[in-house]
Amino acid sequence: MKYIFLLALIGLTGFFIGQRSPEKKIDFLSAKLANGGNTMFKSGVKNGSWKTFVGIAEDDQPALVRSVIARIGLGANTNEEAIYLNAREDINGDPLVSNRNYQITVPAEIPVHEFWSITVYGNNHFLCNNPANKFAISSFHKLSKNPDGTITLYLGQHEMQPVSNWLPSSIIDEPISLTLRCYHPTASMLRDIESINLPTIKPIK
Amino acid sequence: MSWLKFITLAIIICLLSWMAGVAYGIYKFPKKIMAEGYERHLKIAGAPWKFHHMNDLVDANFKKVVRPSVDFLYSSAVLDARDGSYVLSIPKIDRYFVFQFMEDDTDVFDYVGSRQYGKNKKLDILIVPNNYDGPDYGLPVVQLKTERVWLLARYQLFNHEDLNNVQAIQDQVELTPISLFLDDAT
Repeated sequence: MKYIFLLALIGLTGFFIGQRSPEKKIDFLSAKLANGGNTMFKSGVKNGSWKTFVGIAEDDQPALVRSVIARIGLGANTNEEAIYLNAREDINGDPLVSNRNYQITVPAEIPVHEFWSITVYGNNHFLCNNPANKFAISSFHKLSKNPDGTITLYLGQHEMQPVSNWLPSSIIDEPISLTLRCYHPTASMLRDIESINLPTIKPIK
Repeated sequence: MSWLKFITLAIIICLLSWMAGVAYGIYKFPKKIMAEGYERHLKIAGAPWKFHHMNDLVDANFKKVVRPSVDFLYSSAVLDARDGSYVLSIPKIDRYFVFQFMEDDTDVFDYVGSRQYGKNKKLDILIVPNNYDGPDYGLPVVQLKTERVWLLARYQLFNHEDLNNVQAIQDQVELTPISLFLDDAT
């Protein structure tokens, strides 16, 4: 009898220790998801460098996705209102770093009713220090367009021309990531999120 | 029971229950972070149904929320269904905006914004508890899905110079108890 009591106590202690600081375990899992690809989930989507989950903030999303989003994107909208795509890699699959320069080509048409934006984050998921105090480029900014309607943005630590299209990177040498936010996406974007044209991120030699 | 058997059993139970604990902790995390958020917010705003307007630009020193966006200014309120019905009044807004209603586990259950209602329209929205079956007073209705709800509003911010315009919008966004709202209307 006393054995059973002892084993129950051990079980309860194990459970109690296990349920503490879920943040660390979620961070561990989300790092695994980011490295191994989020496509281990049915709702995980990858399109070029960009990754997201379909159906976030909805009732029927997997519990683990809800927890990961609560940790890294608390207050996220559902897809019908906004689609958030994250990139940690360039077009070659190499990790994005602040001390390299990149050319980001935005297609002429990102299928949104409102606007899109691209924001740079440091390794700690916060906005990065940069001399221009500029953290994002949005479609409603005055941007220099190519003749074919595409937009070339330049990501790097030092000012690049044209300045309007320069997305400053972190002044600290560190891994960085980008978030592409698409507000009020069109029906075609919602349907074809895996196959529509999204910005490409090429390293500049 | 031999000691060897007992120790083996103890290790297995410890491991399994630890894993169950980890799963439980992860599963409960959204509710935990929302509950913490309510408390933090109530300290700032003073009470439920009071807006806290985040009316300044965020930069690299902003560490309250991970992966913040600079596309918007935000307003935030905790709604408590035990306080009855309220009216959310939104002034004419000439830009993209969205008021997002979240359950106590972060799931979004309703929106009021330019996507549904268009821009440049004054809006009065009736917010009612989930067991409400009273009149709608001719207003669009949002029914709360959990006892406590987080309402987060986003207003597009064009540039630094635009800050004053958005702050002026924030100042006119209101939550009014239905009784007071009806008194004012008559």
